Amino acid sequence: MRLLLVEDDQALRTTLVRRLKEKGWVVEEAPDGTEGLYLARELPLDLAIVDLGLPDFSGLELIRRLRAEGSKLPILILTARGRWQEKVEGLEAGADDYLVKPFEFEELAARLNALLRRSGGWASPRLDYGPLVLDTAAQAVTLEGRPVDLTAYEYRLLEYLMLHGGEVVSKTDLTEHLYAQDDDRDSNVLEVLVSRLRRKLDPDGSLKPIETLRGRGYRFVLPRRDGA
Amino acid sequence: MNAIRTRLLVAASLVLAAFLFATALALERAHRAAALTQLQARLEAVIYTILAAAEEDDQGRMQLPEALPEPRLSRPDSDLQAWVLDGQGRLFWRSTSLLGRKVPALTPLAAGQRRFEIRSDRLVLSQGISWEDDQGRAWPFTLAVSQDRAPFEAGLDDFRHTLRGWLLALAVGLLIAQLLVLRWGLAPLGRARRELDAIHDGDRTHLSSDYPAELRPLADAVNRLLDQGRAAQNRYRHALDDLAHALKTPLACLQSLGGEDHVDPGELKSTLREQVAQMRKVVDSRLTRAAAVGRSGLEPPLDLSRLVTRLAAALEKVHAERGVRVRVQMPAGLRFHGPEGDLMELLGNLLDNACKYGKGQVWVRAVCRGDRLELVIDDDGPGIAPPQREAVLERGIRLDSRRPGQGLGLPAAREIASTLGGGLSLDAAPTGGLRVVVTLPGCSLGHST
Repeated sequence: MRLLLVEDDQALRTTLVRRLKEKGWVVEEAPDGTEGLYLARELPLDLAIVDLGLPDFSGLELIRRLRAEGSKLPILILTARGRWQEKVEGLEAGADDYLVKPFEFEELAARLNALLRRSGGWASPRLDYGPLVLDTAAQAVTLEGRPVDLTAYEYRLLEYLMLHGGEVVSKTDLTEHLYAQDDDRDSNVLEVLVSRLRRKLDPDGSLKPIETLRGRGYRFVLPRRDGA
Repeated sequence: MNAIRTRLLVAASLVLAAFLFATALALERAHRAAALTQLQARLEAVIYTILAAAEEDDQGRMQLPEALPEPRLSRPDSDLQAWVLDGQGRLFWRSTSLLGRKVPALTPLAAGQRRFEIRSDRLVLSQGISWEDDQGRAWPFTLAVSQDRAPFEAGLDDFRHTLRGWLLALAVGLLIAQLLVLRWGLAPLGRARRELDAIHDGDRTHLSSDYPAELRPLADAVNRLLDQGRAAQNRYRHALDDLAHALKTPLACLQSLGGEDHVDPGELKSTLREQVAQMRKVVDSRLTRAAAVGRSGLEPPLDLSRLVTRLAAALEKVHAERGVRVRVQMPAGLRFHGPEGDLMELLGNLLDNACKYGKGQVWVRAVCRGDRLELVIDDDGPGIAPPQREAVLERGIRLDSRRPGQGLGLPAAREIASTLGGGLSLDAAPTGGLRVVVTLPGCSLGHST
């Protein structure tokens, strides 16, 4: 999942980037509105975190411009003041959620997952596909009730496929949303990742949750049990 | 030109000067016209005197005597002269006062015609007559009476000088009166300035309350602003004192931790977490309360329905995945007279609580009782049992530790309500959830838009 973080405080930005990467996010960072706006226009993003107090123009302005251009990118705003006036203005400008500084990282992670899920049309934190359930709040996957141990990358890959369940997801889509720009984009890496994921989710080969469409990509094929 | 006194003085002096100048001009004109009319009447009288003195010779023709009843005509060097021309324009007769002087030119007039002329050196009234002799022949004559202009103008000049003298004296008098009136009228402003200086120096706390009607609203507003400023200052000072006090303990703890050489990483992490949580709680609770602006009484009326609707839309968006629905019910045109930021903070905290704790249904009702606004916010959550209510309001105990930032909403909301001169109480909603009732002064039912 590719995420844009627009925050001018370098210490906070560095910490957040490190911890978000640990959680398997691909993080793009911008120290000001101009760069943030540029990245938001140029990159295939799944989410954005925007600080309201930016040095060049306000986060509100950044959100308004993006929304005016028709962007549907889910946006979470960070505000230091925490006045309701500011929160309401932010939400009216087009943000989807807010978080008041200081905050616990876990709270931020939970909000990001919720936003991601909401943008995928899921109302509940559980992406329930019968035997296979992904809990975005707990960031855990269970197969027939038993927990499956996944790496952060494997988790993000599965989450992306399950959020777009039934749709064909191209390899380009996946690399764009799962890898940082400077990472090795060799599609072999992706194939290895997918096959590892298949082994973990379907040890006896009876479920076949992920279908490969030659030359087009992958599709998560299990029927959805709830949500939307 | 920036002082009111100077403005009034300059404006009034200009008006006064213009008025007096116009008055002088009008009076001089009127007096001159009256003097001319009077002179003309006098000259007419002289003509009648001459005609009355005319005699007939044996054939009935006109004859005029040397001496006339008007003594000024008989004196040489008199300023009054008279002469008569016959039908051919030749001099027929002249008064003694014209002896040795050049007879002024005169155009003969037909019988019955009369002409008044203002010449450069004299004023002449002439009259054409017809004298019928015994044979019935009509002899035309032109009678002229003339008055030297110099003495006439001198009389006018005298009047003019007297008039200007009086008007000047009047102007000076009026100016002095005006200065006194201004001094008296503007005295309250001077007093307000002195009182403000005294407030600045700390010798007074307020402007006095006995200002004239025009200044009283201003003085009252200044007093309210002073009160509000002092209250806010007090709040800030207390909040900062509290904040400093409450932050110093965790800071000291962290400082001593930083000075230790051998610390167990696990312990370091847990202490860091604990102290940061402590500091966060302090910052959250005390700063929110200190940030309330308070009421100045000068706020524009606020469309309450719009504010609540905006908040409701924002909260429905934030809590979208829980399907939260906020129902707003209030009379159209309800206006709140108070600071928008504070009301938003108050309602934001309460509505957010209701959205978080409830199962997704929130009701907001507002009514205006007299000038008091009554706001009722109901949710469909578990509610708070009566014995716990006071504790929740006092300390903001977390009822649900799974959701951070909780419980702080109610004490902060109550603080803001009391800053605005109102109150907040808890009750049970009909659904069994929590009912928060807020009453605030400053409400009206404007026209709905």
